Parts: sequence; structure tokens; C-alpha cells
Amino acid sequence: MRNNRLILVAIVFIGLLNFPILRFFDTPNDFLGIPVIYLYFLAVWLGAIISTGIILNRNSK
Amino acid sequence: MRILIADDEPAILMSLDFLMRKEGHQVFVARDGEEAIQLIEKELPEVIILDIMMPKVDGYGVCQQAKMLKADYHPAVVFISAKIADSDIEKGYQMGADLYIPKPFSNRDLVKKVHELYEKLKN
Amino acid sequence: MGVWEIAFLSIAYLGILFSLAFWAEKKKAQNKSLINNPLIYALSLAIYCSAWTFYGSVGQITSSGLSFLSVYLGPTLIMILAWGIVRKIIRIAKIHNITNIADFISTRYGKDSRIGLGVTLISLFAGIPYIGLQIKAIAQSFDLITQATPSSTFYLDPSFVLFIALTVFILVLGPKKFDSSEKHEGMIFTIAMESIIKLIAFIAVGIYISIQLYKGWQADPQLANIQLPSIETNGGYGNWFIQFILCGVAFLFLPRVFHVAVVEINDEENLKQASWIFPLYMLLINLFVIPLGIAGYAILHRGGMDPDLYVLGLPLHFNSNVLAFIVYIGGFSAATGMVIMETMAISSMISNNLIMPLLLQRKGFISENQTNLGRINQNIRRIMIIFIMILGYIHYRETEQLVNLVSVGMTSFVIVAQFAPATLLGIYWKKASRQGALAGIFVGFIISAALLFLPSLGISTDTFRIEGLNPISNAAYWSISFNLLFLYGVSIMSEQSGKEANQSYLFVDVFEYSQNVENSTIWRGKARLRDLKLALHGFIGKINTEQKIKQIAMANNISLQDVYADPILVTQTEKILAGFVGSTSARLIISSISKEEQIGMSEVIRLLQKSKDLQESNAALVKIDAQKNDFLTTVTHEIRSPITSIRSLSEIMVDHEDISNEERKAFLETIIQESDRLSRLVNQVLDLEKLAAGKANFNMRPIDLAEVIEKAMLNFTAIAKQNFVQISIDLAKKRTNRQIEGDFEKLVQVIINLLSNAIKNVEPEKGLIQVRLFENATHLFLAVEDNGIGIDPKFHDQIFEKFKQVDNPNRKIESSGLGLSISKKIIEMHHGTIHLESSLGHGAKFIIKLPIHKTA
Repeated sequence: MRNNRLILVAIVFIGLLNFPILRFFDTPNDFLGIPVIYLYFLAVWLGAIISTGIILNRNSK
Repeated sequence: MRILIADDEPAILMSLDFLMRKEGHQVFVARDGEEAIQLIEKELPEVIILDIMMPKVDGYGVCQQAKMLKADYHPAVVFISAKIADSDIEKGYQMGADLYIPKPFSNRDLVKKVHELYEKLKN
Repeated sequence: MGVWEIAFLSIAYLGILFSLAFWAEKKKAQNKSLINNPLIYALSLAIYCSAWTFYGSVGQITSSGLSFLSVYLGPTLIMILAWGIVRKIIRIAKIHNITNIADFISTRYGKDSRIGLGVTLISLFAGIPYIGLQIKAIAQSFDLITQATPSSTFYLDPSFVLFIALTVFILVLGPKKFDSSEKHEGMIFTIAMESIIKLIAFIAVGIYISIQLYKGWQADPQLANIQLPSIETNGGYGNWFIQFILCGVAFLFLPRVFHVAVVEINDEENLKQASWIFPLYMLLINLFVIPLGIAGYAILHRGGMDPDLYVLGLPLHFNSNVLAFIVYIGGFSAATGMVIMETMAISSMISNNLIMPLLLQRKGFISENQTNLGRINQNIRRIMIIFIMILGYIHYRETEQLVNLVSVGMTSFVIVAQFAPATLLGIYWKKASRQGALAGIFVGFIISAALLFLPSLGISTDTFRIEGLNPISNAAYWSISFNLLFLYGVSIMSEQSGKEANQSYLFVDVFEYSQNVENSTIWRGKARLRDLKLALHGFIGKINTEQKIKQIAMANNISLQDVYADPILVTQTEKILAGFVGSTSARLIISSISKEEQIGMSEVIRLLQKSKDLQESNAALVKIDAQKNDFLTTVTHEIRSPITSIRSLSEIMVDHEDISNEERKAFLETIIQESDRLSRLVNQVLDLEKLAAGKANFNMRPIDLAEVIEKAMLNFTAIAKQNFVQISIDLAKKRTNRQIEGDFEKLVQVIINLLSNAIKNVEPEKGLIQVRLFENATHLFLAVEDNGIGIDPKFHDQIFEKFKQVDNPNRKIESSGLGLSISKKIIEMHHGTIHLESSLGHGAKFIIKLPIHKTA
């Protein structure tokens, strides 16, 4: 089941980082001087890293 | 010479006893390991013929005790055993046997080999 | 900073790396691998982050915004899926001893040398500019930090010294002669260290510049107004998507990444942690790209500095020489790491797929150089490394001002991505064929090369330009689509050859078969053992050859006595050779010394399936086997004793005619007894087999257990007397007239078995055996108890097992191991149970429990 979860993470990862969802964050605005799109990328990226780490380290049946 | 024969099979004891007596040796027989050790301590035979699978103390144990009994006592130990795998024979020699004869054996062969061994050790 | 100072420090840095490598090799020799852990593995994957990452990303940011991030998000996507995809590739590579991407693809498609050659040439074609790019980064950063002016004569150019030093470094650490195939402990360790250094350097400069930027920001609000182009305005989402996927796919097929990820991995498990550590590394190294880009643009843009040099230009601008040097070393690390691994990987491909096959096909070459092939192979690789380095250097000199880091990198990506369809479909789709792979790679490469390079020669390709796509995405789109189309189309139309089909099964179902493949023979070769050894000598030396052959023979139970080697040995030898010279060349060497017979597809699958089934039932088989062995040992032992007596006594009577009549009679009686013993044993074995097979006849009728005991005792009293054992029978409660239903004779046999057993366990003269009968409402109980040595409770479960003889330090408890099994079987046929109560030193008590017969 581990591989299925990882595939799900991959699909969500592609989905969040592409059109159309990406468009909502692809603005010139910034937050505390940091571009919103950049923060968005970092957040999704970190999310994917953490989920992958958790899925692979959980004891799978 | 003086020979001790130890085996838990009475029939084998019977035949070896007869055989060795006919050859003119002095023979002691034991039906288990403990008895064998007692006899060895008492009689100090020059040749010891041992079965391996014996009650109380097995052949290996008898052999080791005999070899370590006294500094100036060096009996020739012959194993006769139905354990005939290469590993068994190797183990027998490792445990201190001077000769390992698999069962069943030919009488003439046994007598000849025991004599050869005895002569070799004497020189 | 001075030219020679920096040059010296750079070379000193290489020296430190070299000692680290040396140290790692030494540790490895002591069996303390430094690199066999997930962290080092993940760091070695960071070989992906070359000078392009270190200098190029910042250069991109002001012109193209964040689109450069696809270069890292794509590989992150692959790492999320690595446990599925990459692990499969690793497993396959390990089984087939594959050491580079060209070998991988050609092995999958029936060891086709054309595919291997094609992949090699394409890798070289894509790799040279990429290597040139790294050399350029080294040279430019060197010139910038030393403020030197590059000389137009290359040997007067100070950075040329670094190029020479780097080449020497690779040659010293690189190709080994007597090494296990393609594992470079020291090299991987230095790569991992370089990855740490480039990350630290980049983060250091990032933090420093961010602080400066924040200060400057307060002083000059204009800075805050620099805005990044959004992804939509910079190329749009189509480009973004294509590049995202492209980078992911290309990542794995870059020769250097394939090498560290697949070939150098020590333990598959390392991939598990690397799957998140490596993406985290990529995230961290990109954390400060934006502030660095903005600061570079704001501060250095007006001075006309190449944006690719902002990272180094910034600390220099702030006069922080130490930091500048750290950055320089970080960039140097990124570039050298890439160059080291890429030249190693490509040189091995060229050697394996181009030069060795050419040499090996020359008549007489193998026989003349058989023991020298290892050295020849090593030298070819060395020459190839020098060759690639020179090509890279020339590329750098000739195109110095023309290109920026990112566009060269992306061009390489599009080209190596052509390997993806053949590889990925190859490991998941059995029908992918050699013809299809050849067609796909060829067409994909031609299209990508045409779309990428024709415009620079002045030939327009605008007709094929999809609106909204940049040249890179456009080339990627067309080439990969056609690659896939041809691979798929040709595969479904072409017929696979036997060997190809074999390989497709081995690749696609690798996890199913992996343990068996190593030991199964995929082809039947006939080769002389002597020739096989000679072939190995040249690569692993004489002593190792003998050892290796012995190991394989031992592991597979092969005899080394024949002139012709076992097929398993041939297959294994080919695999070992493949580790050194690649599958194509290994096949050539082996076929030069053997006659090959093709095995049909179905047979291969049958063989694999068979060995798989065998493996699955292995545990059970091993157990049964052990029991059988026990049984045979026991039975033969039991047979040997009476035979020994019979033979010995008979011989005596033949040899000694003078023995007394009395003695003769005693001997003959013993012979008869011993013969009886033999026939009893044979009967027992037969009984047990009958019972086990359910063929025994049971004559069931209501019977009185007391009568059974009496009948058994009738036979047994004499024996007991002979052995000086006392038997007491307690049938006090038998007068209840309760009966059981059973086979009288068989139950007698059970009791005799139990009594014989008891007799063996007690000491003569002191022995006492008690037989008791008692009952409850539903069952009758029969107990046979002795006061012998007892049986250790840990053996109680085993003692009834067929063939089982309990080892006892002092005494053989059960002579043939059959009596109790037979008894148990018989009792079970009576719907009863038999169990044992005993402990060492306290005698043994067997209790039989039988259901009372309900009289009508």
C-alpha cells in the first residue's frame, strides 16, 4: 500500500504545482517582503517531503 | 596386549571379546561409558575399542578421559561406529581417535588394523 | 586575491578531497563503509546540483522568475516515486551487474549492441556541452575572484592549471583494475563531502546577502520594488508543466545521477530515507536564490556583470574575501563533482559499448590478451576520460561567450530524456521490443537535435513551433511524443526474439524473480572451465578467480571436476564480466569461448516459476528434508548394528573351526536374534508407511483393555526378566466391564512399544515399570510409567514425530524413532490421544486415552 500512497502524494504534488491551482498563487504580491508564489512553492515542496518521509518510515503491512 | 572393548550391543561385545581372546590378548569388556572409564582407570589397557553411541558417557567422552588420565599413559583409541558420514569420521579423529572403523566391519580387517596401530604406537 | 594563491588553494582542496577518498577506501578495506548509509547516499545524489544550480539559478531569477524551480521540483516528483521506480531499476541493475544507463537499456532489449552504442553516443553528445559548462563555471569564477583576464592562448590561461589538476584527480581516483565492479567508495565519499560544502557555501552567502539586502532595503526602498516575473507571464503554464516533467524524467537518466543512484548504492534501504532527504537538500539549496537574485540584479546589473556570476560577485562587492572564497570553493565543488562523475560514467559507457566490443570482435584479440583484458579496459577508460575532458574544454573555449548555464543544461536534459521511454516502459511493459526501443530513441534524438540545434545554424524550425512553448519545451514535447509513439507502435508490430523476451520478463517481474534469477540459467552455454577462468583472470586476478569460482560452485552445488563448466558458472561469469566491461562486451567474451544454445521463452519462465515455487515451499522442504535425513540416519544406524553382529559372528565361525559347540550355539542364537531385530525394524518402517498412507487394515471390535495388557505382557515378561526390570500391573479398576472399540492386535503392539521404550529408559536391576488402567465417565486411561532417566519437557512435542529421535547427552532414548510414531498413529485411529508426562531425572509416564465404547 506504500506505493499507492506515494503515487497519491505525487499526483497531489503535480496537481498543486500546476495550472489551474498554481494560478491562484502566481501573483506578484508578497508577504513580509517574500513573494507569495515562492512561499507557496516552499510549502508544497516541504509538504511533499514530509509526507514522503512519513509514508516510507511508517511500518507498512 | 591388554584391550578394553566398550559397546552397548551385547552381540558385538560377544564377538569382539571372542576374537581378541583368540588373538591372545587380555580383554576387558564394558557395556556403557561409565563402566569403560572405571575399567580404564583400573586396568590401563593399551588399546581401547569404543562404540560412540553408548549410555551414560559416549565414546567421545571415554576417549577424552582416557587420553587425559595420566601423563605417561598413552592408549591407542579405536572407534567402531555405525556413524559413517565423513563428518562423523572427521569428528572422531578430532576427538582424539587413532583409528575410526565404520560398522559393519570385517573381523580380519579390524584385527589387522588394530595390530598395525599398536605396533606403530609402540615404536 | 592572487591568481596563484587561488590556484594553489583550489589544488590543495582537491588534495584534501583526495585524502578523504583515500581514507574512505581504507575504511572500506576494513569493512567499515563510510558511504553505506542513507545520508551519504542522499548527499551523493546531490551530484545533480552542479554549477548550474550553484551559479545558474540566481542568474535566471530576474529574467525568468521562479521557472527555474521546475529543475528541482521535477526530480522531487521522481524521488516521491523512487521507492517504486528507482528501486526497481536498482534491483535490476544489481542482478545483471549493470553499471551504466547504456548497459541498462541494451541489456533490457536482448543485449543489443546497437542500442548500447546509440545510448552511449547520445550521452556523449549531451554530456560534452554540460561538462564544458562546468569547466566554464570553474574558469569564470576563478577569473572573477582573482580579477585575472583570461588569456586567449589556452595554456597561458591560469584556469588551465585547474583543468589539468582536475583531470589528474579523476584519473587517480577513477578506473580501477582489480576492484569489484564499478564501486568507487572513495569517490562517492568525496562527492558527498562536496555536496555538503556547496550547500554550506550557498546558504552562507544567502544569509549574508539577505542581511545586507535587508539593511539596504531600509536605506533604499527602491529595492523592494523589484518584482519577479510570474510564471504565467514568463512562458506560461504549458512551458512550466513540460519542463517540470522533463526535469524529473531527465534527472534519472543523466549519466552521473544514474551512476550514483543506481550503480553505487550499497543497500536498497538507503533509498528509503534518501527519498525525502535529497528533495530536502534541493529545497535548502534553493532557499536563498531569490534574495541573491534580487541583490545581484540591484547591485551588479548596472556594472554589466554576467548574471551567472552574481553569487560570487555579491560577496566580492561587499569586500568579504573570506566569504567570496567560500563561495568560490562551493562552486568549484559543484562543478568538479559533476565533472568527476560524468566523465567516469561516460567513459565507462564508451569503453563498454564502443571500444571494447570493437577490440573484442577483432580476430584473435581475446586469445592473445586474455589475461590482460582488465588492464586494457582500465587504460581505455583512462584515455576516454582524458578525451572527454579535452572535448569539454574545447567546447568551453569555443563557445565561451555564447551560452548561459541554464540553456545548455536544459538542452542536455531534452536529449537524455530520450532514454526515459525505453527504460521506463521497458521495466513495466514486457512487450516493449528491441526494434521499438531503437526506433523510439533514434527518432526522439533526431527530432530533439533538429529542433534544438538547427535554429543556431540559421535554419528555421518555426513550422513546428507550438504557440506559447519556448524552444526547449517545444523540442521536449515533439521529441518525447514521437519517441513514445515509435516505441509503442513498433513494439506492438514487431516480434520479440527469444532472448529479448527473456530479458523483458526478468526486468518487468524483477521483484518476483530477483532471488531466483541470480541462480537460474537463462541460457545454456557450453564452455570449458579453463577458458572461463582465463577470462576472469584478466579482470579479477588469478587468486580471486579461483575463489570466486569455488564460491559459485559451493553456492550452487556444482562440480568443478568436468572439463566443461556448468551453465550456471557460465552465466555467473558473464555477469561478473558485465560489471567490468558491460553486458555487450561480456557477451562477446563469453561467446568467444563457448557454444551457446538458445532456450525458449516458455522454458525460461518455467525455470523461473519452478525455482520460485521451490523457494516458497523451501522452508517446508528443508524441514521435511531434515526429518528424512534423520530418519535415514537412524534407520541405517539401526540396521548397521545387527548387521555388524551377524557378520562378525559368522566370520568367526568361518575362520575358527576349533570353537566349542557351546560357543557355536550361543553365536548362532545371537545371529538369529539379530536377524529378528532386523526384520522387526523393516516391519516397523512398513507399518508406519502403511499407517501414514492410511492403508492399514483395522479390525475394529469391542475389546477389553485389560486383555490387551495381558496379551502384551505374555510376550514381554521374558524380555523384562532378561533386562532385570520389574513390571507391576495395576488393573484394580478394570472390573467395570467398560470396553473400547478397537483393533486388538494393534493395541497390543502399542503397549509393547511403550514397554520396550520404558525398558530402554530404566537402569537394569533398579528399573520399575508400572502399567495402570483407570477411567472417567467417557474415557478409559492406560498409563505406562517408568522410573528411568526421564525426558526433557522441551522434547515432548517432538517425541511422537515421525523420524524424530530425541538427542540425549547420555543415552539413546528411542532406538529407531518409529515405535512412538506408530503408537501415536494407531491411537489416533482409535479416536484417542497419547501424551507424555515427564521431566529429566523423574521418569516418564505415557498416558493413552481412549473413548469408552457405548454398548447398546
